[in-house]
Amino acid sequence: MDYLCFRTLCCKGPPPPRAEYDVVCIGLTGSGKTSLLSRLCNEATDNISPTTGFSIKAVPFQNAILNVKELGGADSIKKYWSRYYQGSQGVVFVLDSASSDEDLEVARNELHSALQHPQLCTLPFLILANHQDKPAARSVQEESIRGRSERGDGLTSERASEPPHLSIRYQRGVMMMDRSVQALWSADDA
Amino acid sequence: MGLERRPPGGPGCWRHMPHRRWHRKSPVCQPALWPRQEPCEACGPRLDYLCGPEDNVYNIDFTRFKIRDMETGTVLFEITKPPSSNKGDKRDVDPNAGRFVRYQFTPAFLRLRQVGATVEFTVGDLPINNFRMIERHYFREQLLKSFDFEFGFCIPSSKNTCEHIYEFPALSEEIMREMIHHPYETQSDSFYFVDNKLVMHNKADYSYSGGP
Repeated sequence: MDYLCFRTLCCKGPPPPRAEYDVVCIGLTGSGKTSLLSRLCNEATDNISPTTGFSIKAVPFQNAILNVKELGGADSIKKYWSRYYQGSQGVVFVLDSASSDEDLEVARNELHSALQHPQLCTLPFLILANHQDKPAARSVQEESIRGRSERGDGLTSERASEPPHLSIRYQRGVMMMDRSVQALWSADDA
Repeated sequence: MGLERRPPGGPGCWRHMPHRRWHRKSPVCQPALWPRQEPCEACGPRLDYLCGPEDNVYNIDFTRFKIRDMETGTVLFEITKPPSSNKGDKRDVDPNAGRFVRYQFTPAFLRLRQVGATVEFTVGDLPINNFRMIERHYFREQLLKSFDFEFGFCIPSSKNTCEHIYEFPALSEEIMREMIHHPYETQSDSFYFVDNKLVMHNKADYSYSGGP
């Protein structure tokens, strides 16, 4: 509000509209996609049920608005994911770091399919290793070894025994964060 | 399908809004040809419904609606459709009850610049290839804002939510005064198309006087 008052007093008029970007958010069911987006929009996260279609949400940030198209991760829904890729400018892939080896393998395959899809292969990817607060959560390093992208030369990360911190490595447009949704919210706009 | 945000449309800032009598719709306007043609801007809000409930062959059902202020995040309005309990007996139910909504806002609503409107809807057993909405807001006969949004593909038997951002058109003090002092003369038509065929037509009217 102070900024708006400043602009009004100086006859500057309303601030220019924020840039908007179209992003698709995918991941297996239960990975935390809906919770993530609800948290970023200051909405309650205690009554969330599985997404059974798409959920398009405008997520505001200080300098931009992300128009996120979140897609349900159940088997009956994820077979339609590619119907929603066109027009995307970025991809957020959410995975449950504490899931079983079998589910992590499924997530790996889905991630690789998305990375190789013609409509997504040139776009920046954000891979969110969610559920880091669970005891069974794998570290970023463990997950990067398992899910090594064929586009790059692998990721490195600090040991899981160290205090949780924000660990970001770029790999030809691939970012990995090792915080849960809770911590991501507090680091918003950092 | 990209989410194309149209710039604030309509004639812009209204300096003078003469009071006009309602007139019948122009016979030239053929909304059934939408959206292949540009919607006729000479027409005001519809007095009638351009399709019947039976045209909704894809069983699209709107189940929730919410409006929030994008600058503060405050939820201004939210309504959820109760689950239908008695589907058999429809003799006492107004057939248009599900496709008309009356909104009551305070005058402060007109000072907002950006609101996010969330709509939740379910889809029947058939996949929908191209679901599109054209919505037009009027004060009396004048078009305030036209909105065109493509939902795109809808998965069969899915429940989907969509939030789109409304940029308020610039309104003069005079026109805002008129809108506040003449409740429900601000109206909107929402037309829904599947593969360019009109399947639903919803209507709404608005009060900004802060009272019933």
